[in-house]
Amino acid sequence: MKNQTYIELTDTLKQKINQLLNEKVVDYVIGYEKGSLWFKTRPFMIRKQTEVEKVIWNRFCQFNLSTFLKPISQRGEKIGIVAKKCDLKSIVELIKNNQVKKENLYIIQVACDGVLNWQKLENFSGIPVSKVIEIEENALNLVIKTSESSIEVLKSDCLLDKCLVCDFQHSTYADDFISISDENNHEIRNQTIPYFESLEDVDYEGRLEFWLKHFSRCLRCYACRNVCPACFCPTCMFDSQEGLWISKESKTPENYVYHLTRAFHTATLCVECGECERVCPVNIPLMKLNKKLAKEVKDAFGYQAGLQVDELSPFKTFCQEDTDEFK
Amino acid sequence: MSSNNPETKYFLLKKSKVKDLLNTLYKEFEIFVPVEEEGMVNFKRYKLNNNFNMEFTNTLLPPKGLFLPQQETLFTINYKKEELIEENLETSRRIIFGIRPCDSRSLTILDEVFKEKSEDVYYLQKRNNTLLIGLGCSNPQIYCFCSSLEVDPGKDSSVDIFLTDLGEKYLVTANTKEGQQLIKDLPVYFEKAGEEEITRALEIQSQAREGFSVGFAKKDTEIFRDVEIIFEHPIWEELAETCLGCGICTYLCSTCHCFDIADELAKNEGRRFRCWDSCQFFSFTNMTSGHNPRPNRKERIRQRFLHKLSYFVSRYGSIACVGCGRCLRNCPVDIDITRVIGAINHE
Ligand code: SF4
Ligand code: SF4
Ligand code: SF4
Ligand code: SF4
Ligand code: SF4
Repeated sequence: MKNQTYIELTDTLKQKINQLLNEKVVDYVIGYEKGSLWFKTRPFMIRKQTEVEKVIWNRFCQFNLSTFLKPISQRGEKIGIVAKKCDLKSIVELIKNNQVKKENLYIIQVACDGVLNWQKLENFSGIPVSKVIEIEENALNLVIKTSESSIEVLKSDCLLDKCLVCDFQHSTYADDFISISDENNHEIRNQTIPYFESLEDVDYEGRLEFWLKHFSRCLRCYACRNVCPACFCPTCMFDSQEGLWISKESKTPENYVYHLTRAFHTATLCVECGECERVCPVNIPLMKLNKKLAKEVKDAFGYQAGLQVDELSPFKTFCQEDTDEFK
Repeated sequence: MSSNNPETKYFLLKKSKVKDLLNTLYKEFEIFVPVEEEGMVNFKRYKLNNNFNMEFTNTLLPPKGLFLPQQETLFTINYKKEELIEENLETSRRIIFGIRPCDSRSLTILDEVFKEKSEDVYYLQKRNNTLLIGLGCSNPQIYCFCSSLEVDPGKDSSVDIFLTDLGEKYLVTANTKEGQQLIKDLPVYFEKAGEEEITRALEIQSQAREGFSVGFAKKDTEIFRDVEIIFEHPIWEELAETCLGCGICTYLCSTCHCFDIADELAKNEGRRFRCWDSCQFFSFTNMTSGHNPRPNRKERIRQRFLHKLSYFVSRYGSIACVGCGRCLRNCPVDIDITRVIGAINHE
């Protein structure tokens, strides 16, 4: 996939990482390398300068690398991290919640013009990824080429849902900002996409039915939890060795307990990065749940996760003026 | 699982007649067909006139769950009276319609495990009651690599009946007595195939072996025979840095078969069940003493690869992977078994 902007950004990013390693500003950098297939990328821990060549930055760098800042996966070294604008939010939450120290981090924000979702690419173009030879980009469209034909699809149709509502203006938190123009292309964004809105008008029975239907097929593979930067408990209650809270069987009531508990535990911490929903192998629409909780938190406390590093979470503060609506 | 008969016969089945055929078989069999739901294709129990999707590349979940369900009650007992209430054995006759060559191969791999020493009746009973109607691949997905594992995507003689897609119809090959009998009993659906169709099908079958995007050379798997060398290879450390320790690669794998067994008590009734477990979870090897022989992701991810490529080979003679590519497609951090095999040999 050719995109001059991304090629230039990658070059600058490589220089930056090289410099950080060279000057021993960091012990290693968490970035991306090429994945096994053209539409995949892979998280990459860059420790040696010889590895910098492999660093990439493109429209498939979807992974929210901040999850590797969770204490369970780090060893107290000074870490450089490549971050998209949205990833900064979870970094902010991890710092706020004492999971990582800002002084142990070097954040390299890279300009992001939206991340493509390969399943959407397939759905909207009708072309399986195995047949794609080349993708070109113009202002609003992607031109997807196969050996026989070429099809244009709207870029916005193929972006991750979160990119359509990406409005987070907050680059001051990064140590570096790698960009070409000052502003990214915002034309394709700011669309309203149906997340949980479709459930707001549904009555209690309907919502229960909706969630039971989806949770019944959950495999409890725990990928949604393990990928989540907000799930940073050293031992999750569902891994507790002292006693099982729920049966190991993936049955509906158990799965329900798992998901509701996780939703409540991540409320006020979830930055809506969408990683849980993206990695779920059985397409459970977890973002509907996360968005709903974020909305409730915002309505009740005027609080949004990931915005301010010095703003305390409503669950961790006590306020005398609280209207106390517990009934 | 059926006895082999060397005599194979070719028939034709019109696609437009498949639904009628299923409706007829439905009277006698429990049928599992590929069904598209919530953006995924999976084997689902067929109900009269149900829709199904035979144009799928492969199911998201492997068919192993039809033999080793994610959770399964083995038996219930009255624990006061010390009496068996019920043993949960599958008695219905079943058909899997449209199983792909990699997945049918995975069942013969699993058979080895569940037949060894003590026979696992819960698994084997289901296997013995199930007729497999296979479907050849002519369009391998970008993450398929069955051909690296000696699975022929175009032709599968391990299933009872095998279908080759000829566009409007299927060329039907009966591989076993049971398969032949089924065709014989339902002559309205199966016409004799002509020379021309057979030739065309053979062509399609041999073309299926082309067009794979990932894979590895067979000789690259030989290095795994020497556990001494491979056990301390630096790659495990490298993979452990990004592996999330989730259950995707093992739960979605056609051949992974580890399970946990537990008892549950309610009033006077005791229930023993088993459910899938994964070597990628900390709890899998955690002992009551508190000791865990595989405490870190490094040991756990190494276990997954070495079980497939090393331990299984020395025990049963084959690699416990059929190249279905499900792990590669679904791993959140793109850990790719073909790359791992390549990297150990060539990097
Ligand atoms: S939400 Fe999308 S467009 Fe915005 S920074 Fe994140 S990945 Fe980029
Ligand atoms: S990733 Fe999906 S299947 Fe796995 S535990 Fe989460 S919701 Fe369930
Ligand atoms: S719950 Fe999901 S959307 Fe929220 S922070 Fe975790 S992974 Fe991201
Ligand atoms: S290899 Fe991938 S799918 Fe398997 S446990 Fe690790 S992250 Fe999960
Ligand atoms: S290891 Fe991967 S490719 Fe091999 S059988 Fe399992 S899921 Fe399929």
